[in-house]
Amino acid sequence: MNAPHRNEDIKTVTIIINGRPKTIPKNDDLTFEEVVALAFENPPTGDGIQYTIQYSRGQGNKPTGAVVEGQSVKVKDGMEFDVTSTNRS
Amino acid sequence: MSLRPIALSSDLSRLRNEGYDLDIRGGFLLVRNVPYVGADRTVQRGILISRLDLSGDVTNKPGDHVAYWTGEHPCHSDGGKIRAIENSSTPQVLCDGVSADHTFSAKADYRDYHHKMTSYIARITGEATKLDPDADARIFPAIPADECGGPFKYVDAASSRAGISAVNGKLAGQKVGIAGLGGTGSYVLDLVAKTEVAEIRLIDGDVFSQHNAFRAPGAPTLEELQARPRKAVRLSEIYSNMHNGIIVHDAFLSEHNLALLDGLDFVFVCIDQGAAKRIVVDRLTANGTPFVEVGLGVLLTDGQMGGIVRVTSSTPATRGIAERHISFADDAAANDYTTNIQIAELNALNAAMAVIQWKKMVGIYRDTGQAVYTGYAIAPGEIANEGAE
Repeated sequence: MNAPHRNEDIKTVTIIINGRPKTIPKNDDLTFEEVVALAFENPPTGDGIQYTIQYSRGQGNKPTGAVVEGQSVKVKDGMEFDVTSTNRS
Repeated sequence: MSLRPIALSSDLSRLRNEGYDLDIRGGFLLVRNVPYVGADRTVQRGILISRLDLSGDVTNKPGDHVAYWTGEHPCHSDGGKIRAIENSSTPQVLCDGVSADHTFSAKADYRDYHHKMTSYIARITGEATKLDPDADARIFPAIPADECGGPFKYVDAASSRAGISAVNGKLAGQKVGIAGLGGTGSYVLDLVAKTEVAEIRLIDGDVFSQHNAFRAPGAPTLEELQARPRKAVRLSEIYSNMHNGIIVHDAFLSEHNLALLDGLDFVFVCIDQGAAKRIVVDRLTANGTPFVEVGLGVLLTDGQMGGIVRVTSSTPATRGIAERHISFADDAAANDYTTNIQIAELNALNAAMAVIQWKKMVGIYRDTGQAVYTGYAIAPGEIANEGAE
C-alpha cells in the first residue's frame, strides 16, 4: 500500500485453471509441476498420482496442446488449462 | 443358392441399395414385395422374377427380355389388365420353391438387371401408386448374412449403400481385444461390433451394476439389473445379435492371465486401475501390438463440470511418446483431486475417439495429423493433438 507504483510495475496475466482464474507474473514459463500446483492447493505426489494437462488459447505458434512431466509452456493472458487425472473409463 | 452375386454385381448391388427386396433362387433373380393393382382394384404385393445370367457369380447382360410374375396378373388402376406386358399365363415351377403364375414380355435392350427389373416395376407399381401413393417396392428389407462370408449375422447394408464396403474391408480378419468394459469400453464394443473384424475379445471380470447402466449403451430392464449379470457375458449376448466373432473372458487382467492379450492385432485399453494398466501396456509392448488407451478426467468446480477426454495411440513406432501421455493414475492413491465422475456422453465420445484412431491406424481414415495424444477439453471445446514429431 505504501508503494502502489511498484505493484503496477509487476506485469501479470490471468489464466484459467480448471475453471478458476489465477493471476501469475507475465512472461513466465509454467512447468508441469507449477500448473498442477496452481490447479490444486496441496497436490499429492508419488506412485499412483498422475495428471493430464491440456491448454487452449495459448501462444500463437501452438495455441492448443498437452503438457507432460518435464515440459513447460509459455503462458498468455486468457490462456485456459485443464488439469485432471484422466484415468477413468 | 448363394447371394454372393448381389455383392459382386453392380446392377444387383444397386437394386439392393435402393431398397428392393432381392433374392436369388436356382438361377433366378427375385424381387419380392412389388406392389401391383389386382383385378378388384386393391393394391397387392407380388414377386417379379428374371432368369439370371452369371459368369463367376457376376451378372452378365440379361440374356432375354422376359420376366416372370408370382401373383395375380397386374392391372391398370382401373382394374383392366396391363396388356402391354402380357405374355403366356401358364403357371410353371421355375425351380425348387419358386413358381410363376404369369410371364411378361416388354421388349427392350436391357443394359443390366437394374434396368430390366426397374423397367417392369415402373409399369406395374406405377399403376398401384395411382391408388396408393405410398406403394413402393423399395422396402429396405433386413437381410441375413450369406452363409459363406463375413462376421455379421446380417449384411452390412450401411457400408454397401454408402459405397465404402471396400475401405471398411481393411478390417476384415482382424482380431481385436477390448480390455475393460466400463462405460468407455462398452461404447467401444458398440462401435467395433459394427465392423468387419473377425474376432472381438472381451476381457472384464466385473458385474454390470445399476450405475453402469447410466454410462453404457442401451437400456437394461430393472429385472436384468436385479440378476446382476456379468459385464462381459451380458455384452457378448447383446452384441452377438449382430456379430459372430465375440469371445468372452469373464476375468480381470492380472499377471496370471496376460496371455489373453496375445495373438491380437489391436487392443483397446479401457482400464481404470493404474497397476493393471501398467502390466497390460507392458505385455502389449512386448508383443508388438498396437493399442489405443483411453481416459477421461472430470472435476466438479463451483457447480459445473469440466475436464479432459483423451486417447493415446501407441504403436511400435510411437511407444516412447505415447508412454508419457498414458495415465497410470490409480484409485489406491485416490485423493481430493481425483474423482470418479463419468458421464455417458463423455464415455461415448472417448470410445468414438478411440475407434477413430484405430481406423486411422489401419488406413480407413486419412491421418495427416499422426497424433499420439488427442484430447478434448470440455470447457473450451478444443481438441489438442500431440504428434510423433
